[in-house]
Amino acid sequence: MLRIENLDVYYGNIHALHNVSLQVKQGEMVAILGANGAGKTTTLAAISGLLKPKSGHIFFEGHEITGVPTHQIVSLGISHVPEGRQIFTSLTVQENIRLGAYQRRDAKLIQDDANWIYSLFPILKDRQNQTAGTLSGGEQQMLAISRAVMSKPRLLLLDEPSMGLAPMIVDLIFDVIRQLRERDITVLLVEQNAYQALTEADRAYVLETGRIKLSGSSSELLNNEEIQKAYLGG
Amino acid sequence: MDFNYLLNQLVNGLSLGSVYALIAIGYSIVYGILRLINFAHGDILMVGVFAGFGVLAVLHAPFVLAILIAMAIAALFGVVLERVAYRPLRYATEEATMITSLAVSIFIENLGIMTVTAQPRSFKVPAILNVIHNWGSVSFSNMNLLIIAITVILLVVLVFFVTRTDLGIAMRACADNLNAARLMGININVVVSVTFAIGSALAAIAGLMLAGQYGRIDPLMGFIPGLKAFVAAVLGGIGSIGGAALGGFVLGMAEILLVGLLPPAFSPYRDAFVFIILILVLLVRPSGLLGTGERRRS
Repeated sequence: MLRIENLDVYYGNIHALHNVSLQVKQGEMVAILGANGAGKTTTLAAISGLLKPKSGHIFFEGHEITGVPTHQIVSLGISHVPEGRQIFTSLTVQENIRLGAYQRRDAKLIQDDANWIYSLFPILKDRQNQTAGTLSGGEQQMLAISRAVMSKPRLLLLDEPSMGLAPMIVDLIFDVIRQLRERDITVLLVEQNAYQALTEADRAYVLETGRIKLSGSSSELLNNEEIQKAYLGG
Repeated sequence: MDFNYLLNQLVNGLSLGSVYALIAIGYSIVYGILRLINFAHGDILMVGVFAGFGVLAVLHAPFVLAILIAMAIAALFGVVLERVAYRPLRYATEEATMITSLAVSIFIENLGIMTVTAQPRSFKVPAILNVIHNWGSVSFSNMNLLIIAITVILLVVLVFFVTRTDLGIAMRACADNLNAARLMGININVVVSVTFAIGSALAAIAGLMLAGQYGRIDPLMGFIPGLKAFVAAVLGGIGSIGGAALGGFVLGMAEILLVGLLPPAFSPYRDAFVFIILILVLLVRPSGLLGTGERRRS
């Protein structure tokens, strides 16, 4: 479904990604693991078109999307929940959700999807007329995911959905992610919490200073000594 | 000085404030999205006024039609200006874009002088607008009423647009967080063009009201109203539509009252009052009346 080949990305003079190749198949949940600054967020930003790669190719469902503007990538069916949530803090919860469906014109189905979102996160329904900036961190993450799902993506990019959240909220978020997968949404997840990611995902790639260091199925990686040492505190 | 004199000045202040409010909104919405202080905004106003003047003088068309055509041409001009002069600098610093806008302003003014000459022309509005009403000893013209009514109507339409339509909400989203707006599938370039179109159209109608009030136009006419509206936008809290409108009304009222209440010897300094207000705002409350303070945007 998603295929990245030999991707090189720079921030100015900083070489952030070196020759990165990875694949996500339809229906999978794939995790990208790595420390701070390893290039996880950069990889997602390149996929959604926020950053232009220096070289390499990104294909989505057979079409090349390298260098395509972000708004067109969204219309192809990729939705990105960015690092740090990035909700519109001065807009209401309802307006944030409405913007998620910005490119859709099927008013009736949009309303159905909004109702479904509100059933997943009832707290957002209670707060729909509140300014999003007044939400707690967990609620903001719920809103960021809801907003991304409203575009009806086939591929969802999730950047550290558990960051800074209480364990109970993290469980709730991953519970919802499982429900999204049941709705045929493929997921590419970036996480620092390697244990959580490996228990949820089918496969994972490990990034280190902009290069892919390791890849494999989650069970292989969970038992890998290097991984246990570096990321699982074993 | 009596109470009626004060009431008369209030009507004048309200009408001048309306004009400032309409111009200030353009400054503010463009700044909100691009962090660009467009000093050429007053010159867009001038272009709109000359377009309207042409329609009136050459085609002898009705005033309403002249207003609509002036707004349309100013909107188009603003959109093209952004495309040509500002879009190549989209990721440049605020200082670079501000200096560019000053250059654009000088360019448009001189282009105006070269094409229509610096000679002021008289600008006539339909006679009905000059009819004066007297309520007791308070007098006001139909022109005053028209300016205030148009401003109130346009403000209501604008508020409806930014709170009820997808495009309007997208505009506010872009001002809030540009990258997140991209991730929603919003085409930033479309939103920026619409923003310039709206701001420029509002400037054009405000310019026609000024021209109608003063009865004369020239290629430099946009400069001072543009600067004053910038002061109004800063006074209200730049980036906020409500702030720009409030700042415009407060500034117009302050200017008229200062001129009206101080001895006539001070009248020539009315422009100076406005810029003293700017200095005071920047010293005392730089984020403006409705501003929320410096908020870094990602």
